[in-house]
Amino acid sequence: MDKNFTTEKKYSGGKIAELLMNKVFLICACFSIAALLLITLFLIAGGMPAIAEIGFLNFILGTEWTPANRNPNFGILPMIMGSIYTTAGAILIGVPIGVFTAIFLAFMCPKPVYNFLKPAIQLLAGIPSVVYGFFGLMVLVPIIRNITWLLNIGGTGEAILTASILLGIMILPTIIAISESALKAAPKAYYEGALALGASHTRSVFKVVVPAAKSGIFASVILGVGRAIGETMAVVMVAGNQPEMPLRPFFLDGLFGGGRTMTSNLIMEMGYATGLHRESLIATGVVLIIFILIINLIFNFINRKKDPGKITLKNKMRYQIFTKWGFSRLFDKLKLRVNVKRAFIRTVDGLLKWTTWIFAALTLLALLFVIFHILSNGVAHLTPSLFEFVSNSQNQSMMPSIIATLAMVVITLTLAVPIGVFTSIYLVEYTKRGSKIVAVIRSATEMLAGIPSIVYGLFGFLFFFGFMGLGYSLIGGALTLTIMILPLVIRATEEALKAVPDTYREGAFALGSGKLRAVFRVVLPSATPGILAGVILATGRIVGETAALIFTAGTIARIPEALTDSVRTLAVHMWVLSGEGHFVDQAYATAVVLLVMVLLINTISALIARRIRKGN
Amino acid sequence: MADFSVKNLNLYYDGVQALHDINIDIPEKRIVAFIGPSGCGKSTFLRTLNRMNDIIEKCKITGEVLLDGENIYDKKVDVNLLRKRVGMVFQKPNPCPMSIYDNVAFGPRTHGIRKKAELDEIVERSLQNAALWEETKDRLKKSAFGLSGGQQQRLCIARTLAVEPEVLLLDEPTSALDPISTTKIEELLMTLRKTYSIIIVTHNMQQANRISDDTAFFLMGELIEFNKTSTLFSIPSDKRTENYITGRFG
Amino acid sequence: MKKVITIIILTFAALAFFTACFDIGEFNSERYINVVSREAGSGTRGAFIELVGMVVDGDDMTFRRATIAPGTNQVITSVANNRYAIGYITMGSLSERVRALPIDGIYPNPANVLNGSYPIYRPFYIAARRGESPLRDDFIDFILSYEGQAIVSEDYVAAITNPTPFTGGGLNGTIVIVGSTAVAPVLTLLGEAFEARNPGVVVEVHPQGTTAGINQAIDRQIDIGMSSRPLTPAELAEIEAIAIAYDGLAVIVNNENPVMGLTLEDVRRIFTAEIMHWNLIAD
Repeated sequence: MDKNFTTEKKYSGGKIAELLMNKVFLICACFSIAALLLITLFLIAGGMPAIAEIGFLNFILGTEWTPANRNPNFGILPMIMGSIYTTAGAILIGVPIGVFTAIFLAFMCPKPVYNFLKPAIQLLAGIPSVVYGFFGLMVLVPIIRNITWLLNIGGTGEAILTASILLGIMILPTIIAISESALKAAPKAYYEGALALGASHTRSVFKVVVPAAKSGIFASVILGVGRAIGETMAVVMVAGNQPEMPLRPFFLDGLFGGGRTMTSNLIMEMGYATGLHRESLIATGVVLIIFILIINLIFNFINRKKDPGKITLKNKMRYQIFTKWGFSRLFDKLKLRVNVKRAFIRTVDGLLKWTTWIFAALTLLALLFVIFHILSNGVAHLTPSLFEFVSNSQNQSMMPSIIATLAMVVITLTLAVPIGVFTSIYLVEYTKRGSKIVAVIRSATEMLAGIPSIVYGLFGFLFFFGFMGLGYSLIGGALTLTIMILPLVIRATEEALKAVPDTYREGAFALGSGKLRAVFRVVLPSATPGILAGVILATGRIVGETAALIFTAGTIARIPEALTDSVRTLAVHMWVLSGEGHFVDQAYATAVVLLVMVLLINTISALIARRIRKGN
Repeated sequence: MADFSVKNLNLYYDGVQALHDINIDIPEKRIVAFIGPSGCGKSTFLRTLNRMNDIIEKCKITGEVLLDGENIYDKKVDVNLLRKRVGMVFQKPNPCPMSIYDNVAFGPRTHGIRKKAELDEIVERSLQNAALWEETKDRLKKSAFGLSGGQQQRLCIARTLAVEPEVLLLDEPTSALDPISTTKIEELLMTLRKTYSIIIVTHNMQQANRISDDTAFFLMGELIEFNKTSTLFSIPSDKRTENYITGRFG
Repeated sequence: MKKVITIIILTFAALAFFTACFDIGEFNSERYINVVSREAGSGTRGAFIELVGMVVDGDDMTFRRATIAPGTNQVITSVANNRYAIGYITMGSLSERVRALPIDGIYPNPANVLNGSYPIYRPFYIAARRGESPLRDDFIDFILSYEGQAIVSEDYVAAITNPTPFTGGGLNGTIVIVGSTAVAPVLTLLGEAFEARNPGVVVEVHPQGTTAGINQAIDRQIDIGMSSRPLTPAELAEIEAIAIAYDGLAVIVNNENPVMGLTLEDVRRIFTAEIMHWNLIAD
């Protein structure tokens, strides 16, 4: 029992560990900033000369992209428009269906259906984009083509519309998941208040709860836009890829005509472009990042904390419109009988209810269709030869790719998880609220999260393949993926750490524990399920990734023996096969294996999530 | 010896003054109760005694808090060792997410005790001192969350005892518990008084009357009156004290 | 009631999807010709436009709204899935999924390329620097040897007349080859045969496009580049081009297309969009 507590032993082991780990956490936290700076630097340095030589306006607004001509032109406006049109189309299709499905899930779904539908939508979220692209190529393209023949305009089926539909399906899970959370988080008091006034269930939901969840729903739309703009693999397989200005969008020839997005341009030409051509591609990557930046800014602007109490002119007008000129006033003016009024309201209600049910059914249909198509065409072709350890042009075995995928997952996670967890520990446990460093690191992480995977592939190609001289290698791919999934891990860990009640920390401190010990013994164990959930999500991302790996890890189908060996992960294998006209069957079989992997990952994640809820 | 002597203590949260010029001498090996209406600063003051306010940002303190004649806010003080000497139990039971054994062993392990035999002995002793041993000796490895609220609070007391403090600070320890658990803990405190100095913040005047030797009454960040419990509750010297005790406000 | 109707709508939609999957009706020659071309860096495209006469003042006059397929096998898929499509690929990758058209009456096969009657043919080149790596030189010798050219002759025309038997071998290491998707299949076969003879050797073939391969070989990032077009003077100043095979470029259409053959002039006019409908082809 020590009587005095002025320390003589100032440099005890515990103290050294504290100081050391403090620095380690800080260094990890700065990694995000470093990565972002590096990427931006490389891309800007690579792309600036091009823009200088071509001329900024010629580049952005030029309508001719002919890099191979004697007098080459480098205008990327066709690609910008292609990106904008396909994204707009995706939003038009995905948002209504998605939001209505979210409303359905949150308020109108019978429990047994919910238990089936929710995991199904999560499954949709995990399907790799190559599988979607393949599905689009084999199913959507012929359908659209038939429609063009019906309409007598003769198209190939590879069109803006096709890409929009495919992208719309792909962003559904994002929109549904976030909108549903927003709807469920709206205060129940609103809903109950409306009910108490005599409004029907449908009416209360649509008139009161949905507006209350407005900002959350809008957030989901913004995220969907980000996803759509950044999508590469699925689009390049179905959009036709003509490097031409897409035709008039609201007319048939534009809808059913082809186009090329900025992302498709990158992946199609990155492999062989040199000199000014390559630099202009890098500049395209910069343009993409700027687009994402603008979207993020819009997002933050919408989400800023608004003062709810202010009586602005807009609010006043809104209030007046609602009371003075609302339907109730209109009916009174027309002196309609109460029955008619009620019938009208009931019709609108019914319409809303129907629309919701139908759109939810459409979501389910899309999911079933994709899964069914893949399974029906793939399971039959799952032969043992596909699992041999050596892949050659005869068997196109996927075993080396499966092993390569596992290796990729393990290496990437080994790098990304410690850095990500330590970063979050620093952000949550070691900084004061409102500190500048936290804001900067968090912004950097948000930016990194928004960068499309093809741009990561471009950076990886330039930096790891070229500059670092790694060539096509497992480690090059893993390093690229590490930066890519870092934001995911950081975000999930941050949420998990924040969810640990402060009383745990206080209890540890009150017993005389230092901060490091409290974090590792008390906070981290509590946060582990949440962190694990994030790791699982990241794993799904790694398994499904293609665009970032084609030019970093390469496409060789061999079991890796060294970190510098080129490998082909399962998703890349699928990409190669889907292009090989001779191996359609094997492509489908690979898709089945990919789906099974995704299903497994999702199931594990759901089990962990359930354990978290039980623990609390 | 473990007596506190507080001189001219002022505390500011983000510029707003929460404690005004507190001066009090708290003798050792007695139960002292801090009473007063909500927001009067009694919990805040309690937390200055083991520097738990350190973890709150923008909290400034002037004045001195002397434990055995040494100012605990001196720069040379190792705050972790201080908290070993001055233990704290919170209002809401907050066992760590570990087994019962690990909860009690957490403190000793922090302060360097590693041998299993030693830890076993400390755990058993602490649980017995907290009157929890009989109920938990067969399930030491089970999660602490499996215990009832009252048992968890006694577990928190046990783990605080495990580091062999001299002072026990308790911040409304029974306000979240049912009457039976409350009684058990009050009995426990009465026995612990023989070995430890105990300072208890309570919202419940009857509790203060039941178990404490001395009582301090706080109001709006000031110490109004500090006297033997029997005296304060029968013949308070300050009118405000009288109003509070008789329920005219509070 | 709601649920019943929802299920009915679901089934109806499902049926609609499934029927729409299949092409309806017969071949309608009033339809547009759907031209499929390759990406700008493709050697096959480069060779095709030169041989067919589609280059004017150094500019590629391919129809601007042609669908771009980024590889030999993507072209096959596009044409196989679309009744009204037309494209061009290396004759070595022909399969029953598509039909190759006789040009000026001559069918694209190795025999007709060898005797010079088929008009659209070009050499396959490998771009490599000899004398820098013994393993690389050994493999190049193998390709040009009797055994190597025999493999070439299965689907293409050998470039070497009277090749000599291969005498090298016995080295270890990795050879990295990048380039044309058209040349990749034959080089993959050559690589596998070489590996079978030399167990310590790994031959990697990355099909990424002709120009990519040439550039990376010039930059010494890889061993050998595969090219399906002649190298430009600028490229030849940096690296050597070795012809390893002769390949014919087949013009392919969908199996349901009734067109029996085309003239070279027809081909030029179709791919530059002077003719846009199937019924405008003068047979």
